Amino acid sequence: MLISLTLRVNGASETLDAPANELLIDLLRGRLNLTGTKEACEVGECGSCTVLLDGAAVRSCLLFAFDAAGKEITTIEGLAVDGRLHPLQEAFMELGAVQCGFCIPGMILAAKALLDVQPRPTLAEIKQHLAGNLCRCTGYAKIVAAVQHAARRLAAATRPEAGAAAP
Amino acid sequence: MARVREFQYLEATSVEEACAWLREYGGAKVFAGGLALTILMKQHLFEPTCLINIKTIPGLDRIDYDAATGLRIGPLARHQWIAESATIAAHYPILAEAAGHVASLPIRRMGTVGGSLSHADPATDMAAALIAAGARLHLRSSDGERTLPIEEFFLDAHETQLQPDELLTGISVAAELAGRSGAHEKLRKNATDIPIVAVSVTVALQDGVLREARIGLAAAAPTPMRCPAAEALLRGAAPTAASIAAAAAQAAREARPISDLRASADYRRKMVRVLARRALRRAVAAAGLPIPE
Ligand SMILES: Cc1cc2nc3c(=O)[nH]c(=O)nc-3n(C[C@H](O)[C@H](O)[C@H](O)COP(=O)(O)OP(=O)(O)OC[C@H]3O[C@@H](n4cnc5c(N)ncnc54)[C@H](O)[C@@H]3O)c2cc1C
Ligand code: FES
Ligand code: FES
Repeated sequence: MLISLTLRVNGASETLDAPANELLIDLLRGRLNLTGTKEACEVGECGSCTVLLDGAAVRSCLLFAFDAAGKEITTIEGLAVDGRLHPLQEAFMELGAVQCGFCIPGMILAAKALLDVQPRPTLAEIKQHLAGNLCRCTGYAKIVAAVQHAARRLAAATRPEAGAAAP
Repeated sequence: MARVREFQYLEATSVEEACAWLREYGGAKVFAGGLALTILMKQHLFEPTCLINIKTIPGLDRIDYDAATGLRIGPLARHQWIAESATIAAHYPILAEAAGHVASLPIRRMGTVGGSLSHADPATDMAAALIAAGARLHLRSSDGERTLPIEEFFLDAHETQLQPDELLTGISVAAELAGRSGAHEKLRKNATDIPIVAVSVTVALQDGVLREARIGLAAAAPTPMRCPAAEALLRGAAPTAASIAAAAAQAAREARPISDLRASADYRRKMVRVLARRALRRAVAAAGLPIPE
């Protein structure tokens, strides 16, 4: 059974026919060639398949494509703008928060979901938002530090210019 | 073999339509958040021939509270909404606390509370909390509606009162049960795992004695369960270290734990006692009567 779907993926509108039994991760990786989204546990435990659905982190391994109809999806490929990396991506590189890298797209997207609504997160909030993302390599400390670093950089970039006249 | 076996897919627009389709299409399954079903389907453990999406039915995700009629939670309410609801935190804090202990944030946002009860895993946090809160469940089929206390809903692991053509349409908690302090104690192997054991309690105190306590357990029997004998020990008792210890020991005797890869039955029973004691002490303290060690 085919279902006709329209969804937005990284800002571009896609209209396609999806079999009812197609999972979102297979649509993204297999048909749209967005292989930055990784599948590890297949059962919702690890977070490596994280994508943003209307801004919130979800498990693309447990989501049928039909449930993404009409929604805005962001994958790791959608973060860089005009070839410039997102501050989270820069911070992960600068602080050495990446080892094998398999968990990192999910980590960065889970962190982005937080920073988009809470630009000045506490340590507890960062840990809560990353608790569902497992990393077998880094020990997490540098990942948390990278998210804090990116948050500071984003806050500095959006702070109103000193001395700007109040409206 | 396809990764997930093919199925027919239907989107219901009303409860009546979903009930009619459940009767019409044998082998059809209700599809809510889809977490539990999708795992089973990917693993080829359960392969329904037809899925009826109920997320397309308006209003089934509402959380409503009225001081006269109490709380009504739609089956499609997500765990995270319950965890974040100021209304629930104010009137039924046990439910907000337990919902915040479920899995990780993305799973709490995707999974529905109705799906978690209908899936009827013994290790369901919200089942224990809703038992402690005194919830009733509303089931609907084309023949009409019936209502039952949540502890009667669970028959065995993954088996409930739900007939193949029935829909869980609501969870309600009476207005008289609002305002009870509670505590949810959960033992787990990491920050996002299902409970090894969880104990949920609520207490109502009057003139320094326990008018009523309710105790719900998860992962301590083949189904989520209530502990009537432990509750009876507390009825009318002063909340002291001794009365709470006795009730916790009774809850452990009432539990019917199994051994599996998370823990042995013996360990689970011991942990029911520990967690019940902690939960009761914390609930009584939250009601304003801290008990010295
Ligand atoms: C990684 C992971 C971690 C988890 N951790 C926890 C945890 O810590 N604590 C905990 O308690 N739970 C935990 N869970 C379980 C999770 O809460 C449930 O799987 C989820 O809430 C099920 O809801 P759903 O909407 O996704 O159900 P679905 O998969 O849509 O449905 C589940 C079952 O219920 C039936 N159903 C659904 N809604 C209705 C309805 N309204 N009427 C009749 N039948 C219905 C379906 O037909 C199906 O049989 C975890 C799950 C995962 C994947
Ligand atoms: S692959 Fe989806 S959560 Fe692990
Ligand atoms: S860097 Fe290897 S799993 Fe996280």
